[in-house]
Amino acid sequence: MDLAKTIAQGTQIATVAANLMPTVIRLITGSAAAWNAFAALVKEHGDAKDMAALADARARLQLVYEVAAREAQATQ
Amino acid sequence: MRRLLAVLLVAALALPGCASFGGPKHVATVSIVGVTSTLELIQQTEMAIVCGRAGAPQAPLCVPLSTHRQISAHLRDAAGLAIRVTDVTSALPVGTPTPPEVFTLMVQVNALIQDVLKLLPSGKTRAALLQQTGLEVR
Repeated sequence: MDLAKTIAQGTQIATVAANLMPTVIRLITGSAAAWNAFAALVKEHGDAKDMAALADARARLQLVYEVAAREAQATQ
Repeated sequence: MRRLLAVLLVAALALPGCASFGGPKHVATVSIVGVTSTLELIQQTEMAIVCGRAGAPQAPLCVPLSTHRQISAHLRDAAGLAIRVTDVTSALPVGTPTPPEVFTLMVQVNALIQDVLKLLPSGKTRAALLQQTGLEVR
């Protein structure tokens, strides 16, 4: 198989997969916000970026957790 | 179609070193970042419509205190599960398949989000929230 054909097939597969990803992400989370985050992150990936994004998400989730825990006991 | 998407989802998360998406760890990272934004938005929106609080609408468009406590408990649990997803994902070596635990936790988080959406009063605030997040009440 010549190189040009291999590259063309690879590009086609990547394009199909990229088109399906928003739907796939929505399936996981049911959220368009997930797609927006995906679109932003997919441009610059790499383990360091992912680890930074995970650390940021964890801190934000911790805040959601603490506020929710306090509000679950709210009296007014 | 749903089954096909589920298969594709598993493939996207499980294939090691998928160059287009940065691999399973990257896909899981993107997913949990999206879930984080969704939980934040739901919490902010719901807290602004608790009955009796400044700026909240009148009944039946506001959230009664007892329902607010219920919603907050669901959000607390969802955030706790999502934190576990970030921990599992952070520990995941690049290129390795996503552990089944991540799928299980994500399904649980999604179920809690659905419970919260059902507890919100139907009105323009909930409609705006659904539109903003792309969520549907199932």
